[in-house]
Amino acid sequence: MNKIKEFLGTKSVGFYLQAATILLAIVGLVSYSVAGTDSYGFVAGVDVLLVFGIAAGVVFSYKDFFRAGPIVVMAFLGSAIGLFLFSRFMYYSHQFYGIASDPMSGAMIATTIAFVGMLVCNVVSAFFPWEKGENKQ
Amino acid sequence: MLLKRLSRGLTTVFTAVFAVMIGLTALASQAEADINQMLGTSSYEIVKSENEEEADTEYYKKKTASMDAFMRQKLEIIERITDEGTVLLKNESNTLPLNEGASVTLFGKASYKAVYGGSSGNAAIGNKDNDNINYTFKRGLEEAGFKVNETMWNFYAGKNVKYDAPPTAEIAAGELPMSSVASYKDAGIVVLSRVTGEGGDAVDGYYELSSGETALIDAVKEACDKVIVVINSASPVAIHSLKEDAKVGAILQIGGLGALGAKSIGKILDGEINPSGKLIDTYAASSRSSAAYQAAGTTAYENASEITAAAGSIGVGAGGTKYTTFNEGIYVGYKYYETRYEDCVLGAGCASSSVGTFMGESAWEYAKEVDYPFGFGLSYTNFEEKLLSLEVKNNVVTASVQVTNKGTQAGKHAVQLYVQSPYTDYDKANGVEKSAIQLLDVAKTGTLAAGTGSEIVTFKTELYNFASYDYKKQKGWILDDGDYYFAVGNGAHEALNNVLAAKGKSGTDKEGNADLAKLWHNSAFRTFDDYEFTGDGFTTQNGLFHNNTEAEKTNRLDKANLNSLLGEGTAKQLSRSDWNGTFPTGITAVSANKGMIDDITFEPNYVKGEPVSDKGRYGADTAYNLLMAKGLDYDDEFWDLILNQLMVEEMIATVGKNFGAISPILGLNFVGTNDNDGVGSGPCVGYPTTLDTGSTVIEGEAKYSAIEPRMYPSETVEAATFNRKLIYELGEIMSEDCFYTGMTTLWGPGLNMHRHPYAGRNFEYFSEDSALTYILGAEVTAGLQANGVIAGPKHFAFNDQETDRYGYGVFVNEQAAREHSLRGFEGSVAVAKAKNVMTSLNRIGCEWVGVSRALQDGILREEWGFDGYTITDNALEPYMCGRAIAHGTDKLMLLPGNERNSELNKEALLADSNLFEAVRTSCHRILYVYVNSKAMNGISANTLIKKITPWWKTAIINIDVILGCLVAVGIVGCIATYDVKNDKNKEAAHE
Repeated sequence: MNKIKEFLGTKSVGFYLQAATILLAIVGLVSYSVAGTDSYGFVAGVDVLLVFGIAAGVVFSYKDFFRAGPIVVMAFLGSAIGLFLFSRFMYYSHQFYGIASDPMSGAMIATTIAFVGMLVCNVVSAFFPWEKGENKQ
Repeated sequence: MLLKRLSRGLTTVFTAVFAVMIGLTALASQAEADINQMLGTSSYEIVKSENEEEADTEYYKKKTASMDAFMRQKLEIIERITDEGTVLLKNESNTLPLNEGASVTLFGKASYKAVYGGSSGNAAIGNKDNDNINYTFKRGLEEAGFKVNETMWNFYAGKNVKYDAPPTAEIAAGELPMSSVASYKDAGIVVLSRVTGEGGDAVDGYYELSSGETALIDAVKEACDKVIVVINSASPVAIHSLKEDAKVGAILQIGGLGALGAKSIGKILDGEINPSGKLIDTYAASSRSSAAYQAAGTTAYENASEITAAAGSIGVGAGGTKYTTFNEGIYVGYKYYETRYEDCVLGAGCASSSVGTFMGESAWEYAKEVDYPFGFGLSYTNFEEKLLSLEVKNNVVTASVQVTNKGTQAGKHAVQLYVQSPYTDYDKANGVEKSAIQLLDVAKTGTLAAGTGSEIVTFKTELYNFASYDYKKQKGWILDDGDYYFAVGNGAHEALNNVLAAKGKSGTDKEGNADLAKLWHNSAFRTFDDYEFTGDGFTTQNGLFHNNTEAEKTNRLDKANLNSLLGEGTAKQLSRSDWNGTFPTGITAVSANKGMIDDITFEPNYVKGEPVSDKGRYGADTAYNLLMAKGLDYDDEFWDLILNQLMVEEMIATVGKNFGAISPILGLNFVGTNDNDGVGSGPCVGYPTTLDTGSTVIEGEAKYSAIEPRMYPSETVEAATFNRKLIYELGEIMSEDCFYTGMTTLWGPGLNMHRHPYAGRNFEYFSEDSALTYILGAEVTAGLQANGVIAGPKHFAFNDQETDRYGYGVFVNEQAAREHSLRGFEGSVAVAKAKNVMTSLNRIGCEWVGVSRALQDGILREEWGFDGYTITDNALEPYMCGRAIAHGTDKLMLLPGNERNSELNKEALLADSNLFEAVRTSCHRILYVYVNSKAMNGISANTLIKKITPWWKTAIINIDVILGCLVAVGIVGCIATYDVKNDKNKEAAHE
């Protein structure tokens, strides 16, 4: 417990935003796995990229090697979002025009919010120090 | 430090944008045709050879000289449709027309947010804030010279209730600024709306009046001198109380308004236009009382889990373990109400039993159950009809009707010819059902002058059009021997009363006129194996008549009949021989047997062919171009040479890529097509932004917007005109629209049936009546295709509800299938020669329509002579699989990213000669259609199609490259600013 406290005690805003990114990515992973089973189809690649992104996030949260954490994480999560948009463009288009064969489910709303949230959190985290004292370096 | 964080932050931003952009780039690449259409660009360039002689390659030409001229014509037709498609249901105490310049108040949430189309697709776009295009009711009334209560209008504007808000959202009368009504109380115009759309049916009760609506009307009755109710709905609303209410002076009915429907309402209230529309659906006193509604929706198979378990990798679709049964048989809409009425009069079939009674507690009574019958509509004048003559000769019925305007206002009149076929002992013994009255044909007069104007209308129709399908004994079409009564009247009920008068029957609810019915006695029972259609019978405005084919017209849908599958009596079928014992009482719950499960799951049925051995059947090193096949017969041997030249990849792209459009085939100099939705509301796409749409055709408006192609009213309004010529002209103007939007194929008209009011897409379909759908479907298709545009009637077939549409099964007996749902498509396909048919998402029986050879090969091609290609509706779900092409489907409509790559790839195709040959046949059909269409405009024998990169694609690639560079530079920056020593020191400090 003390070690955790000590570990967290050294962390700053960037780290917590990165943690939020990981949490949102996990939410996105779960909700997309549920929502993706609708008639517009599930693209496994989205989940694969999310898993890589989450794994990278966990690793880099422990130690921000070369301060490349947000960049590497974003490479995976951004690609997941790109692939998601590619596969879901018509879905959103149909929702917009009201011709979707499936109404927007709670799971898809959660997925959308999670994906937008992880994008924002990750980008913002990159502008902040991950560890206390980093400002002074 | 700031520099470090900035470089890391910006690199992360660039990475995010870059990754997302890659996805969007892939999407843009897949949706290239759509983006090109939107931006007015192209990915192909037509290069003419230097030595090429100037040739006219505009095989099909625009008929209008300019956008202005076109738009004037289009608006004129749209306005005529809403002028003639508005139905006056009630007009008592001289309520209408209103006095010139009357001061009026508009009431109801829909008076401000009207329904211009449906709530889905392009029709929904029309509902959005397009007041610069769509007439509001206020604008329509003011242009007609009325003074409109601004305070009330502004109040509703402030509330801004959505157009699709439920009836319960009506604003309470107590909240309205009623004090403002005192100066605008000449008339209170209450607009009540209903709207539904794709993907779902209306909830039970939606078509009943809400308490809020009733309370609003009560308040208007107190506040205004006259009360006029406008029903703005594609489906009938149960308005029995309004019909009975003496204080409600007038009721008008209009479906999705389109751009100018509210203008038409203004002109009708003013008296400038004399209403001439007729009801396309029965207005029942209860929205739930139709026989069909008793078996609406779906139910799950008792062994649904077994079906799911048996499903292969393609699944069965979200609705695939459910089904519906058309237990009402042929008795849809007025055919139920009117037939039961006649049997009540005749005392036959226990018709007056209490079963199916919704508006009384004991005996079933027509007068209580039906408010306004099919085909009914009032006018401001009185028309007198005389059935001058009737002759049956050489399979053709010829009837002449004289119409004279005996009233005081000029107007048009819709003449309706009906027939009653005998219900014989043979029918009773063999389960052949007969409607007591059925529509045969419609015609609209020109404007007849008040008092003296007269016109003789001549009908020519086929015996085939009122033959019955005997699925039990003859297994084909029959015409009973016996008495046939042909009658005219203001709707089905009046025509039936005229028949009953001619038969000398008493006990009718209103006295009929025997002179308006004529008897033809058919002395001999006959079948239709040797029947021949000619141009002397039913033809479209441009002279097309029903194809004659050699195919045997026999049962093909036995597997769609639950009684054939699981034993007689499994699904109770409504029969007029016993209304009490056969009235539908919901959907029978059954378990699917092994054969049914095999059909539902489909996968076990598919047998692969041998590998393709003849390498000459693809990729031949020849240099033919598609234009060389222009005008050739489908069976011409030259087609083999064209098809041999196709690469396997090109074959796959033709049938399984590019959503609904056909991909270009460079080797054949074929530029591809631009196909899109267009049912009812016109082309689904906007005019290209490059098109100069600067115009002042709509007074006060400077420019068209990109959404204006969607200005047409809903199909229900088009049908309510009962004007065949006008609907043909509508087809022509939609075709012209395709020249301006750049479309090749317009997926329309919608030809499914209004099985009951609650079906979600009724606004996209013409009527509850199959004959009216047959006639108008033929006319609009003929108009559409008269100038090189391709029509794609949809959704073939039985897609008469939206609930569980991805896969639900439809069980129906073959008589009902042939005379009802399929008859609706027959006019468009067999008469007007539609070249494209869009199939539906549902199953017929247990088989998905897309793999039903009975429908696609048997009925469509062999019996009706269809020589075009079929395309699926949006094949979102995997059960709409690639192998469907080996079972009759020609093209799969697949979204980018949803292609059937595992089935439709080169290796798979060459390993399966069945699928290969099917794909080749589909390519043949598709290319045959388009070589003879406007798709070939601009192509000559010597031109070349060259692939080019449109500017937007170059821009996207450039953006990707720049972003990629920025990411790379960012990473380098991060590394360069990384302080290894400091990091190590920090680690040491931790330790």
